[in-house]
Amino acid sequence: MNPLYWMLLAHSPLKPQERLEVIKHAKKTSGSLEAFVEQDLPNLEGELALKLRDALAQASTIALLLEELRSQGIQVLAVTDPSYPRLLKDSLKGKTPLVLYVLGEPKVLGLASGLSLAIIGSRQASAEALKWARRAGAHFGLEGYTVVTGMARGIDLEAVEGALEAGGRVVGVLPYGLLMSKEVRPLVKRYQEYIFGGRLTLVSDLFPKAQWKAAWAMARNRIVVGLAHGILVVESGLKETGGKNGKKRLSGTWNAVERAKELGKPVFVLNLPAPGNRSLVEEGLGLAVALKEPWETFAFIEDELYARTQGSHAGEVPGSGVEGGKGEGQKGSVVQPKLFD
Amino acid sequence: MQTEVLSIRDLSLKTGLSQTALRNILADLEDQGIVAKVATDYRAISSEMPDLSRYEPIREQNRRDLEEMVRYVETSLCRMEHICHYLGDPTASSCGVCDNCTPRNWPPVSEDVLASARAFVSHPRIHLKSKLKGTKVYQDARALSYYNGTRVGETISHHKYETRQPFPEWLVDEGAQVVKKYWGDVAFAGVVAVPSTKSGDLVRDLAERLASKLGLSFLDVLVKIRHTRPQKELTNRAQKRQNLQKAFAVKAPLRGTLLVVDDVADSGVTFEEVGKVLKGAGAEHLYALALAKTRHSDDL
Repeated sequence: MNPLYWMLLAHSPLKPQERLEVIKHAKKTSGSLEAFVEQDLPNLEGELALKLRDALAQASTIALLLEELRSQGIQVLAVTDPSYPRLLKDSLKGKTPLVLYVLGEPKVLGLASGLSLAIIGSRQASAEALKWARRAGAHFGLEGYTVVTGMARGIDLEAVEGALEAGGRVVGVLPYGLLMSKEVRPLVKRYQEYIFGGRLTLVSDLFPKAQWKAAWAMARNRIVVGLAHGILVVESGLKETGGKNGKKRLSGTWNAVERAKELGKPVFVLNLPAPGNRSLVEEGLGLAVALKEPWETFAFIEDELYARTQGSHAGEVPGSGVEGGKGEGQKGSVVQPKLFD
Repeated sequence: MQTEVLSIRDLSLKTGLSQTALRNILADLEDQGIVAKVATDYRAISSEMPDLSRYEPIREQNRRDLEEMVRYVETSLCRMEHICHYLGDPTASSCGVCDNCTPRNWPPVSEDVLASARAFVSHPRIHLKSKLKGTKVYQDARALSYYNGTRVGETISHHKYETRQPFPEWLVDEGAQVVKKYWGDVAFAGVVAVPSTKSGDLVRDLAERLASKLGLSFLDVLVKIRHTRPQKELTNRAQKRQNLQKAFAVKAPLRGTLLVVDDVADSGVTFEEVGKVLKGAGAEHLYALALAKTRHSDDL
């Protein structure tokens, strides 16, 4: 499958709603986006048609980029690709990224059987929290969960190392493009063995040459939680902290928890003595997990997670308001779930 | 399968292949989607075996070209005619000017030209380009002769690998002559010998005799402090350098200008490593003398 048109659409200046409109229209008139573009956009008129033609004019540039991606061993998954993670699609629905860039084995992103757990937390964490992050990574990695993280310093990377050392599988969602920028290179160098061995998969929906940006770091959270059945907060700061020059800094962990709640995913908060952890529990955003023997602590999470995901369709979380396939016309589901199939 | 991100240098150390060969191989592997470049390094992206069959026709063509070249060299007929036939012109006839058409008609060579040609062949320069803190490690470096196919080379090989007896006096004499001829006005403070893996005490003995012939003192200061593999077993400069890293040490502080002596200079890496250590110990200027120099690294 050639993802060229999906890339053109994904990185076009069209607004999200306009993109959906194009996709719906294409599906209705031509059956697929590919056919629709090749038939020269039948029945699409007005400003939207002009904007889309402008975007499609970038085809040669994007084709070159596609070749560069291929030579770097980076796969491009369009939302209609059978390898595109089902869970992400079902979680984010109409807001799911139209393309994902994948460095490593795409299967790791969404194993048909098995659960995935996002392990999240601060970049600057206490030594105790870092220890728990590594233990959590090791435990869930060993138990066959796919560990999803944002690959940031601190809690994220501790969980990653813990899981990989234990022989587990890890997904890293990056807040910058995958094309071997100065940020990606050290990760590839450090983890080449795991990437090549199909145990670590790095993924991003950003333009492959996008540089790191605080906004991307926040936006990435929706993919981290979208790829997970549940979220474990190891240690978090408060929602807002005052910076030195009066600027407020928002916590990425809080942001991820809020995204997870929107998607109806269970959130677990380790009972570490951090103000953020306490506050998350007090506001009812997460379920406190008592710290006992590591095995016991994580077994509690496993039981809860299992209870909450049991009986649902593969890759779907109960309580998210949509029952697989029957979501059409149901209250609260803005977009038809079959849009991208 | 084990896999890492590796630089050309890492690969060159692991495989013993030259950087040029590695670059060519990597370009092909990249082309086949088996490795990818990460900045200046490389990583595997597929465990597929490379398709080697596509090189077979190229190899076959190269073999035919080589046979053609040998035929050109060995022909006793007109060489121009030979080339013309090869290039597809069947009407060509003898040119009358090539060596086979005019077998005994060599142009005369003047004595001057002959003398400088002889000097060029007999006392080749050893190219030691390495620098230390911006200045060259060696002022100059020479050998008596080439190693392969020369009387000097055969004598060295005979003594080094067969009899293990000291080098004959005429080699020491020629060595002294080279020093006087090229570096006659240099005030040497002494002569040092490169510690050897294979030659045992032959080089040390050579340096001592050369020193006394030149009226200089032999300085017994350079020692090897760890085992190294013979340089000739290693195929590229990166490996050779690594083989000699921190292999030499100097026993006493040094000063002035020194003459560094070895039997055979191959890549020059040994002279360079020794030179750096000597300079580190206080030597001001260095000159290198080898009995023979190889033409290519694979001569030995």
